[in-house]
Amino acid sequence: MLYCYGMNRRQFITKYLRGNRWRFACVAVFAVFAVFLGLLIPLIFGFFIDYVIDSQPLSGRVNIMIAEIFGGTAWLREHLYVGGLMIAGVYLLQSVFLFLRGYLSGRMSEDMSARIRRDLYSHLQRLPYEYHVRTKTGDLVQRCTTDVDIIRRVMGQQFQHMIRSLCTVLIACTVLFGLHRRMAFKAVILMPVLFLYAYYFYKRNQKAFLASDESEGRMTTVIQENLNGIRVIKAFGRERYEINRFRDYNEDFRDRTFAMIKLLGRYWSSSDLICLLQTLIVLFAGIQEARQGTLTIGNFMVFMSYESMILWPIRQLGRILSDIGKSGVSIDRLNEILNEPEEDMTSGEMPELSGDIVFDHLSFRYGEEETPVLDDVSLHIRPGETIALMGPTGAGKSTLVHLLTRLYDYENGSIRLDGVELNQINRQYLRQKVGIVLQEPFLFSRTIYENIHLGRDAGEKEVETAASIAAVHEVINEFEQGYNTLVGEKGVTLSGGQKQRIAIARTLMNDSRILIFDDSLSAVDARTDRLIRHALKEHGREITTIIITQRINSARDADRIIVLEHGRITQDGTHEELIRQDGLYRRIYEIQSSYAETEAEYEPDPV
Amino acid sequence: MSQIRFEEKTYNTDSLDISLWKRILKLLSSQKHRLIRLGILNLFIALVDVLLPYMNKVAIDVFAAGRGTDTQLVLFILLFAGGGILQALMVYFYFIEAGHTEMDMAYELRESLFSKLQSLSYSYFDVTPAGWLLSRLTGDVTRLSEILAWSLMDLAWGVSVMLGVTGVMLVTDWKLALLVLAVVPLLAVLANWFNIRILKNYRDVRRINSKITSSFNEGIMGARTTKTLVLEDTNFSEFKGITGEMESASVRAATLSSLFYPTVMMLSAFSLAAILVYGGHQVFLQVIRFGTLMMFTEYARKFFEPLNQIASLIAELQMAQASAERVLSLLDEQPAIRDRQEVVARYGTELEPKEDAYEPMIGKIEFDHVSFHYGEGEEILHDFCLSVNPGETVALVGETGSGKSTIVNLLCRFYEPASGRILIDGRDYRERSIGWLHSRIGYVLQSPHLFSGSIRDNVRFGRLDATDEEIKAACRLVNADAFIRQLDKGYDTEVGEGGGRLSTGQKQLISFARAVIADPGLFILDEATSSVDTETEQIIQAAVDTVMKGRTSFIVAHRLSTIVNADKILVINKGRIIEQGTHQELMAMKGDYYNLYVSQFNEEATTRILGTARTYQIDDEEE
Repeated sequence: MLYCYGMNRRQFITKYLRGNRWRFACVAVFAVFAVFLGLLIPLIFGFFIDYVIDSQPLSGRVNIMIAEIFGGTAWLREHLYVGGLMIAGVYLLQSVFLFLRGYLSGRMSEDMSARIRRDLYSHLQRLPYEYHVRTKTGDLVQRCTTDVDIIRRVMGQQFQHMIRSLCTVLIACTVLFGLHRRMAFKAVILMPVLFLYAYYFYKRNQKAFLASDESEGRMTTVIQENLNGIRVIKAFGRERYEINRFRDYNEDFRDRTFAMIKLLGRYWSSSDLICLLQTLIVLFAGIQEARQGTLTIGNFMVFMSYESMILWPIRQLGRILSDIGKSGVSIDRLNEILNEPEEDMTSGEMPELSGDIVFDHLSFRYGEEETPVLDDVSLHIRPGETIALMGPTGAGKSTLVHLLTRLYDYENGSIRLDGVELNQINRQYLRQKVGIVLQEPFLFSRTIYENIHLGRDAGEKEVETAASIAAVHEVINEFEQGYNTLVGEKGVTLSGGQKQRIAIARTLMNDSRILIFDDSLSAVDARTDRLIRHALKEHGREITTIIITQRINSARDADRIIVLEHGRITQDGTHEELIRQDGLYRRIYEIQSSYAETEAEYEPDPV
Repeated sequence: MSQIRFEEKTYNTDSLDISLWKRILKLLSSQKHRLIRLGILNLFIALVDVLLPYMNKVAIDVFAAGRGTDTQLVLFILLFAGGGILQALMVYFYFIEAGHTEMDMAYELRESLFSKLQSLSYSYFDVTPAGWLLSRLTGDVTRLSEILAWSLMDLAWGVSVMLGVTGVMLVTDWKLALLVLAVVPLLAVLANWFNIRILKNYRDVRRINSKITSSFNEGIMGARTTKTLVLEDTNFSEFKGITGEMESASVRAATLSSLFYPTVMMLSAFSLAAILVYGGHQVFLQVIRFGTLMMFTEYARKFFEPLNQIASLIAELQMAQASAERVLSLLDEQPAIRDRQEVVARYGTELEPKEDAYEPMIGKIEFDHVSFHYGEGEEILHDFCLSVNPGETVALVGETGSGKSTIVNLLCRFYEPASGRILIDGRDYRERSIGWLHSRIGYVLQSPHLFSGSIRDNVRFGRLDATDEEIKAACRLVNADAFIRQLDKGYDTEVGEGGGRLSTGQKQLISFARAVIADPGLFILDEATSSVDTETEQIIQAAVDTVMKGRTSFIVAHRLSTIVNADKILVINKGRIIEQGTHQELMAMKGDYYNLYVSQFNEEATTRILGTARTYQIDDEEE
C-alpha cells in the first residue's frame, strides 16, 4: 500500500494547524481584544478631558452610562485618580492579552514548524531509493530549512500582525464614524490610496528583490569557482585578472541591491508624505469643527491619536501580504516533497530466512526506459553459498542486488527467498536480513564507533569484532582518539578504502542472512581484500554472500562465479570451470593472472 | 591526506569588544562623510518626530480654542506641510545614504577580502575549507554592512527621539516630565534583565538551528545508506530530539519576547496614568492646557516605543561583532610565501607586477638538497637532489604519499623548501618573484578546472592579450579545434559552472590549449586519474606530446602508458628517488617500476573489457 496524499496549500495548513486550532483561535481573539483595549485609551482620555476636566454637558448614551456608574462627573472630578486607575487597568488587561497572543502564537508556530520538520525528515527517509537518486541534496535542504522558516515566521508573526492591522483599522474607523461622521470621512480619505500604494509597491519590490537575489547568486558562483580553481589561478599568475573579473559581479550586486533600497526609500518617503498629509487634513478639519463648536477637544484628541494608530499598520500591510504570498510558494515547495509517495516499510510477511535465493525469469527496466537492465535472469543461490558477480559496467549487477533489498521493485518474473515472493516481504524486515554495502558508502559525521554501532542494541565488543572482520580495527586504533575519532569535516578525512571498510563493519552489525558487497572493496588493496573475505568466511559460514567485483582474485575463492553481460547470465560456475570455458571470465583471468605475482608488493592502500 | 586540520575558532559574542569595534569603525572610515550626513539627517528626522506632537498641541491650544488669526492659521498649515515635505525628503535621502553606505561598505569589504584571498599562498587553501571562506565573503559581509548601516542608525534615531522628547517635556513642564520619566530606572533594570535572557535564548536557538540544518543535510545525503541499514527509526528519533530541543528553546525565546513588550507597556501605563491624573488636575487648575496634556501622552508613547526594539538591536550588534571578527581575521591573514623586499622592488608584486623586468625562462631546473614537510607533519622530502636540462621531460611515478605531488608543489612555489634550494636557470627561484615564476609555468591539472564563461575566455586565461587567431591556433595545436567547431556556438560556447557542460576529455583539451597559449618555459602536467575512452586518450596524448615538445616538462604520472617517451622517469618512494632512467632501462631492471607497469597494464586491460567502472581510484592522491 502506498500513502498518497496530494495536499494543496489549504490542506497543508489544515494538517499542521490540527491540535493548534484553539491556539489559532485564541491568538486571533486575543489580538482583537488587545487592539480594542489599545483603542480604549484615547477614549478614556477624551472622556475625562471633555466631561470631567472641561465639564462639558454629557452627551451620548455610553458617556452618560459611564458617568452614572461612577456617580457623576463631579465625583470623578474630585477623584481624578480613578481615571489613572482606569488607564492602568486597561493597560494591564491589554498587556495580559498581548502576552497571551505572543506566547500562544509562539507555541503554535513552533509546534507547527517542529511537526513540519519531523514530517519532512521522516518522509525523506522513507521516500524510495530512486527519489534520492534523482534529487539534489542542496535543493532539498534549502526547502527543509528556509521554506519551513518562512512558514514559521508567517504563522508566528505576520498572522498576528495582520489581524492587528486589520482590526485596528476596522475598529478605529467604526469608533471615529460613531464619534463624528463628517470628521471621520476626512480622517480616512487618503487611506485607500495608502493601502493600494502599499500593495502595489510590495508587488513591485519583489521584482527588485529577485534581481538582487539572482545577482548575489551569480557573485557567489564566481567566488566559489575562484576558490575551487585557486590552484590554476596561482599557477597562471591570474590573481589580478580574477580580481577584475570579480569586481564586475560585485558591482552588479551592489547596484541591484541599491536599486532595491532606493525603491524602498521612495516608498517610505512618499508614504510618509501621504500620512502627514492625512494628519494635516484631520488637524485642519478638526480646528474648523472645534472653532464652530461642533467638535469637542476630547474628541479632537481621539481623532488625532487614532490617526497615528491607523496609518502605520496600513503601510505595513503591503509587506505582510506579500510575505504571506511568499509563504504560499514555500508551502507548494514543501508539498512537492510531501506529496511524493513513501515506501511502505512495515507491511508484508516476515518469513524465517535461510539465505536461499531464487531468481526466476526476472526482467527489469528503470522507469520508462526501452532496454531492460535485466533480461530473463534465472538463478538459484543456496544458503551459505558465496557468489561472485562479474560483468561489464551497465550489465545489471548493481540492479540485481538492489532488487534483492527491494530498493526497487520488479514486475516481470519472480524473486523468491526461501520460497516466499520477495514483493510480499516486509521491507524493514528484509533489509535487516539482507545487508548490502554500497559502492560509495556514506558515513555520518559522528564518531567511528557511532558509525559502526548506529544506535543498535549492541556493545563495544560487537563493534570491535565487526571492525576486525572488516580489517579496520587496527587502522582505527592508530587514530589518536581511536573509536572516538570524529568522521567528516570536523574530524579525520578517511581514505576511500577506510570508508568502505567501516561501511562493511557497520553492515556486519545487522543480523543478516544474506550479505551483498556492491563493488565495495574496490578501493581496498588486494591483500586487505583477501583478509576481509577470509574473515567473513570465518564469521558466518551459513551466511549467503554475494560479491560484485572486477578482480579475479576476489572472485576465485567464491563457491560460484556468475558472469552477467547485457542483463543476461552468460557464465555460471566455479573458477576452475570458468577458466576452461571460452568467455569473459577467462579473458580477464588471462590478463590478471600475469599480474598475480606482483600483487603482494603493490599495495596502493597501505593499512 | 592533509595533516593539518582546519579548526574554526569560537568567537565570543557575549560582551562588546571595544578594540574590535574600533577596528570596525576603521572599516567604516571610507564612509565617513556619508555617516556624518546620515547622522545629521537622523537628527533632523528625529527632530521632526519630536516636533509633530508640539504642532498638535499648538493646533489644539491655539487654533481649536478659537485663538490665533487666520494668517497665523495659514502659516501654521504651511509650516506643517513644509515640515511634512521636508521630512519626506529627508527620509528619502536617509535611505539613499544608508543604502550607499551599506552597499559601498559591502562592496569594498568583498573587494579587499577577495584580493586578500588571491594574495594568500596555496597552503592556506589546503587547510581552509572553501565553504568557510565563501561564507565570510557572502553571509558575514552582508550581515556586517547591513547592521552597521541600518541598525546602528536605528539605535541613534531611537536615542535621539528619547532625548528630544525628554528635552521638550522638561522645558514644557518639568514636574509632569519627571512624573513621566519616574519609571525609567525601573525600566532600565527590567530591560537589562530581559535583554540578557533574550540574547542568551537567541544564541541557543541559532545553535540548535544549525544542528537541524546539518541533520537534514546528513539525513538526505545518507538516505540511501539509511535505507540499506534500516536506520529510519533510529535517525528519526534522534532528529525528533533535536526538533524537540528547538521547540522548547524557541518557545522560551518567544515567551520572553512576548513578556518583554507588555512589561514595557505596563510601565508606560503608569506614565500615562500620571499624565491624566496630575496633568488633568493641572488643566483643571488652568496651569496647563489640553494641548499640553495631549502632547505629553504622545511623548510618553514615543519615549517607550524605541525600547521594544532594543533587545533585537543588541542581538544584531552582537552578530555584527561576530561577523566582523571573522572578516577581520581573514583580512589579517598573511601569505605564508612572500617575495623578499628587494625582489618585490625589482619585479613588483603579483597584483602589481613589473613585467618588463621579467627574464625569459630557459628551463634548467635543479633541486639542491631539498627537504620538506607540511606544517608540523612528517618529512615528505629528504635531501632531494635532481637536475633537469632545458627541454627534458621528467616523469614522476610513485605511490600515494610518496612525495611526487610535493615535488610539483615545490616547483610551482606553492610551498617553499624547508631547507635546500631550487634553482631555475641557475638562480635560486626565491631571487625572482612568484609572479615571474607563475608567468613562465604552464600547468595542467589532474581534474581540469575551467571557469564559467566561453571556451574563448577559458583559453585566453592562459595569456590575456592573446588574439582570437592565436586562441584558435592553440586549440588546433592540441586537437581541440575540431570538437569546438562542432559546438553550436563554437568558441563562444558557455562551458557552464566549473566547465560542467563539457565532457572530461573536452575540458582536458581546453586546459591544454590554455597552457599552450601561455607559451611557458616550464610545463607541468598533474595527470588525470580519471579514465577517458581510448580515442580521447589518444587525442590527449597527442596534445601532451605537442605541448612538451622542446620544453622542460614535469609529469606527475598515474597512467604509466603516457610516459614511456619521457627522458627521465623517477620512481619516488618516501621522498627519495629509488629508481631512475628511461622506460626501457627501468623495465629491464624488473624493479618497482616494472611491477607497477605490469599491474597497471593489466588493470587497464580489464577496464577495457569491463568498462569504466564508477570505482574509486584506489586511494587517491591528495597529500
